Amino acid sequence: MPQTFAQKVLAKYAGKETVLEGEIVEVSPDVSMSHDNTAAISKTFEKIGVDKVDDPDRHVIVLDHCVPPANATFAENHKTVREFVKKQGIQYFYDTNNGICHQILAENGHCLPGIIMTGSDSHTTTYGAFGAFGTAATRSETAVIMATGKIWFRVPETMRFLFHGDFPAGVYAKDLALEILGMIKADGALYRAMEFDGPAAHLLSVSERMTLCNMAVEMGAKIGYVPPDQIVYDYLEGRAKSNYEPVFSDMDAEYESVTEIQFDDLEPNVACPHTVDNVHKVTDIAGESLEQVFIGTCTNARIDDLIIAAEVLRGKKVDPSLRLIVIPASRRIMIQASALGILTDLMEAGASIATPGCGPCMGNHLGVPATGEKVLSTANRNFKGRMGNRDSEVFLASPHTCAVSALKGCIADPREVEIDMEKVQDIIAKTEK
Amino acid sequence: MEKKIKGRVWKYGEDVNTDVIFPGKYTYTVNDPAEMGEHAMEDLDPEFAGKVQKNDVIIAGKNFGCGSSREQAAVCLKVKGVGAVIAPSFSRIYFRNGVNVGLPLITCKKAIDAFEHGDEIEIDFEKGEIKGAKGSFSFPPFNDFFFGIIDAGGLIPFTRKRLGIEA
Ligand code: SF4
Repeated sequence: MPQTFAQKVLAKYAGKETVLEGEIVEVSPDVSMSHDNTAAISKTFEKIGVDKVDDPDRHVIVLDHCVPPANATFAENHKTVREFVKKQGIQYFYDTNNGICHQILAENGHCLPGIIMTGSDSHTTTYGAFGAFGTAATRSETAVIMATGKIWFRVPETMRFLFHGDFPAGVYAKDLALEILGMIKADGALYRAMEFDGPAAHLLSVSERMTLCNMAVEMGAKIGYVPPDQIVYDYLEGRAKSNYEPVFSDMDAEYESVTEIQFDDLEPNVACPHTVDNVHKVTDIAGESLEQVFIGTCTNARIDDLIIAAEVLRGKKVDPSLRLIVIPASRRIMIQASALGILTDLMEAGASIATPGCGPCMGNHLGVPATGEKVLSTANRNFKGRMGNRDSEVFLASPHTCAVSALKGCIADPREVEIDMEKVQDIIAKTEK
Repeated sequence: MEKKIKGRVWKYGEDVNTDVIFPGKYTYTVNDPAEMGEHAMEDLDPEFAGKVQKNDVIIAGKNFGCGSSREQAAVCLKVKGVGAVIAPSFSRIYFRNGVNVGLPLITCKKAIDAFEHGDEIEIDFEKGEIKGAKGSFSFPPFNDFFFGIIDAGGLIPFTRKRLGIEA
């Protein structure tokens, strides 16, 4: 029986030849990630009644949701996590000075083709960029993984997306993700695996794949997946935490649906308040006033995103009617940006730069909007209250759209400030080496 | 757990969210599972909690359980004796919460239109079969693991049992 990637990976880990879609299987994930919520998870773990974590090396813990801590409660929480990590002998612990969990797992070679990864965070789907089966687990489930090393999954049906062509100027992976969201809506891929393939999928960089798979969960998906290729293998060179064996869908696997997307037809998109699937072309809402622009988060704050922002803003000034906040996804990216002079460019343009981490993405600190304010952000969610104030509004777009909007003082078409993408690619290539 | 059940259908529409299954206003005030049951489906069907019988089955449209991740929205149906919920799709977190508290959830598109409110229904979990006046429909059968969680009363007690730690 020909099978999809999701079926093949789950069958392999469940020790079976084949599995049916809808079937429940129990597997041991290679990696279980948790972040600041490890404090709460450790309490549930203790309630189960075992002393020692089943396999300390399975767990990767990153402190990122409010770093450095904004107040004593967050600080205590971090302290609880540090104590737990020490007591359990967990070696893969990344303290508050590293960056956003999903970026940290990628950079440190924990995300590998063909493996199963869970995370007590919805955006664990990001790991599909590397050809891993990455999906969220609840806090109780993560505690159970600590105790037994196991978790159950319902084998998902797969929706396949085939990409063709090239992005026109001003269009990026973020616009593609928003395009699909607008098309299939926030429940369009409920409990499904989303497989992104076709010739154009294999031209996407690792960073772009991460943006796309990160947003798969916004459509309800269990996983996002790009079949791994040389681009991924090159990224993993010298980084991979272990050997790996990629898994691919069989040629004649059955898909629930197949959707073809021509990149050349895409335009810059913006998700409007208060749902991620409220997607409009930037041209339809250009001119909307803004009080804040945020370039950050696990969706779009990698070096390519920062280079693009700097290309737009270099030698210019952010419109005085708004604040621009830039938070690199990791310390490593911040160091690269610093070496490239990008941080200086952005600060000279008027941006505030903050410590790598989640920042104001979920409203913990570093840029919570005031009542009635509108924010344009590179994040993945714009639910009411997401950034910490129920009476503010959040719009989502690409870093290019965000940077141009910061310049203009309102939502603006990124094509108003063209950038030389060849030059951008060049800088990225040199930086990554 | 009974591997076969027989009951009556309670039929609802699409996108039944966790707020109507278990109103948000009770999430921090009601902690007793039995009392949670008394508020089950309160904002959608005030008759439900008073009239539902053991092994009755909820059949609903797509995206059942969308909204928040509150576990009570699964617990309240479980304590009311709901035998199963059948829908074409569940919000992922509701599906996981459902299984983890021991509430059988069945994804089956074809059965939805074959049942009306109040119809008789039979489910064989082991065979993966739903039977009614208008025919029978199949779904992936539940395995021992699934029965194990449901029998133990949820994921945490199941884990304790497996590890030999008695409750
Ligand atoms: S950046 Fe935002 S979406 Fe990403 S992990 Fe942090 S809080 Fe979650």
